[in-house]
Amino acid sequence: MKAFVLTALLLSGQALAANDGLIELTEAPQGAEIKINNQSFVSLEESNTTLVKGLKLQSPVTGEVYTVTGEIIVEHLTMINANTFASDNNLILSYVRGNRAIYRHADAHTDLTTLNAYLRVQAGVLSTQIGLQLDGLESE
Amino acid sequence: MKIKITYLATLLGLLHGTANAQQEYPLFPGDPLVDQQWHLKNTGQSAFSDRGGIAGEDLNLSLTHALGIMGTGVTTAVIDGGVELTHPDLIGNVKPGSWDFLTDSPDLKPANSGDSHGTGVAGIIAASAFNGIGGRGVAPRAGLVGFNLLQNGNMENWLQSHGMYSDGFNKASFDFPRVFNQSYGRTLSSPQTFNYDFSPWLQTYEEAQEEITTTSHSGRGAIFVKSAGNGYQVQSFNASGLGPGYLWFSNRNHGLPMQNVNLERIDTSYWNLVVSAYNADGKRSSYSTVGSSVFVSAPGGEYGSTTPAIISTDISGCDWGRNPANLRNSLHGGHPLDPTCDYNATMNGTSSAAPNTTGAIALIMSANPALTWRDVRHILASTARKIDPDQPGVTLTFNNVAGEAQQYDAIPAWQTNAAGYDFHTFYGFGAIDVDAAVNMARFYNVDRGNFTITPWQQVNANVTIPDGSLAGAESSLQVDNDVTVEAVQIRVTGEHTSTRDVAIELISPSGTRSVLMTPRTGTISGRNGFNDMQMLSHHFYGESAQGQWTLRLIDTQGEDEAFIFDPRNGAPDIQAVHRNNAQDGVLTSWQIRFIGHN
Repeated sequence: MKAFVLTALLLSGQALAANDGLIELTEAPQGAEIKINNQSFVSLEESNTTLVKGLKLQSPVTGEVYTVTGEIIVEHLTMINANTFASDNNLILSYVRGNRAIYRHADAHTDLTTLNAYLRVQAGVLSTQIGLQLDGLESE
Repeated sequence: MKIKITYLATLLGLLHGTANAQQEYPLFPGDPLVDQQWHLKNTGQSAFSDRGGIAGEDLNLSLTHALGIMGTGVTTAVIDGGVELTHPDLIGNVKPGSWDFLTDSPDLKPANSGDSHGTGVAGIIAASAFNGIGGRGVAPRAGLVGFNLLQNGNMENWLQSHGMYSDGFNKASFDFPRVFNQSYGRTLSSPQTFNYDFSPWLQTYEEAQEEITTTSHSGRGAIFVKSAGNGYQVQSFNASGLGPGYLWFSNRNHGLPMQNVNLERIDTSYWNLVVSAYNADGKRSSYSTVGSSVFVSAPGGEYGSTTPAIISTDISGCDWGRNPANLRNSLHGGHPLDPTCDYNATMNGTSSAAPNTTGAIALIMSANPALTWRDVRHILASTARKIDPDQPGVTLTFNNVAGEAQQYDAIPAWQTNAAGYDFHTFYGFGAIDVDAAVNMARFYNVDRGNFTITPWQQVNANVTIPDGSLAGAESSLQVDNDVTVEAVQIRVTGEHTSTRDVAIELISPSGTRSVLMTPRTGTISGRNGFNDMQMLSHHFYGESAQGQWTLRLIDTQGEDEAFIFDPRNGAPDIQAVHRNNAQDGVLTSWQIRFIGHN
């Protein structure tokens, strides 16, 4: 058993002056801010905010650490064939269910911000999301 | 040998046409360590630790094994780290379909000498029986496939390991898993948002698990078993500037869990059957995370030093796995019963409770392959044993803002709901009773009605949560839908700058009270309130949804609290403080939906 699972929480360790002499651990992730899926994150790779597969991000609200998966999740109009859409846009289809498909680009270093903006305006696309994988999963 | 044993077992089964699930039957001999495997049959044996537990505190499966029901025809998936599929006690049960995500090949194996967890999990489920070596799995003739997701956990690998095989593996095939074991999880330090727009991975997970659960095996489906976690007493931080360490309270957190299973979003999904752990004394394992989304409890043991852990397969060889590093247990290092160090006696955690459950489900499905996933869940809930019956629960005493002592029933003793089902925050419906479950499975004739998940119903509350007051915030909803409840999900949104203080409870029209979130969890970073925080409860199983449901949020702390941060690097402990919220909180809104049948 892994008795204790690491929480992916960034703590500054900053000691706040308190009259009881105790330290208050406050959440204060350092780094450049980046917005994905209408949610704010902080890049854990200094000032790097280029959205590419593998970029580590942290939520300043919850402390959770995520890795950018390199995937774009697309909600299509129902008549769209995901396999055709993938080949038309130089994408690899990872998963499809109903009108929701997960794609990744053949080039793992693709800037996902650009790709996401491009896909969002393609015919038959209702919405797009950038894939994030929550870190910290361990045996227990 | 296997064939002869099967004939003998069949004969025994025929002779015992009136076999009683409560009667004690011996386990067949044939595996040198089986007499020490207390989780299969607890006789008070020490399991290579200092002392034994209490006889009878086990899975109660001896009749099932005696009848020759050992998991034949049911494949289980071990979603874990590496698994030594060539282990002599596993290889006989290995089925096609395993995948190594590090090498991108079906040749799954441990990545290194310490990658032993998955091999231990696999052995608990389906180590072979009657082969003259080692111990025995709960379902020693069930099939095994493995996936080392924990070594390389991206979305594609998650999907493949959870049944969405990229090669189009036939979901109706005999070898496609019917039980998926997930002995993994996370520790959380703040309430999380359950929102598909923010976290699309949640939707992917839930939809994939729903699909596999409800449509595989021609609709009979599959079950995802999930460990509850090991965060009752202590939780960890990876603190930037301070390094990783552990967080704990010198007052043992008032006896309350640091981690509640409802903090982990995937444990609040209906598609995961969450399992807590008990030890050889028939009590909650000291580490086991608990909560209202725990379905059942299964053996997890303690640490194998003073009291028993679980005996299972280890990576082969005395230099690999748990053998070299865990000599505190007398099995390890070349014991005469395991001279080549292929087993360990320190496997524990809800990581062990989950595969014990997976094995038990394989036995139930093997006893009656026609059962659907819903039937199996119902059988488990209906036959679970009321373990630790005198467990008193936990009453929290705290001072309100006026300094007056208050008491809150944070974890009730065993309760019985209006449909007659016993439940406890520690154990769900109770300890799995395999013989009783298999007996019900063999003669199963229950109409479960039409499965339904109701739409979310929203309640705009805007009620103040007074600081440090039992008065709490209360909001109610009248439900007209006459669904028979199997589970209830709640999503809460509210403002609060010290979520650790807040207890959340739901009261059904029948008066059943379920504490969805125990107070004083380790959410010391929960300064931003609740934003669509999802929780699940099984406590209303069998009750009607019709009537008034009441949600209560109670702030159980009116003062600052001291705690200790223990850096792993050996630096001195840091005395820290969790400040009380400066103003009252607000329950802004909540949603509810029912999973059940009509």
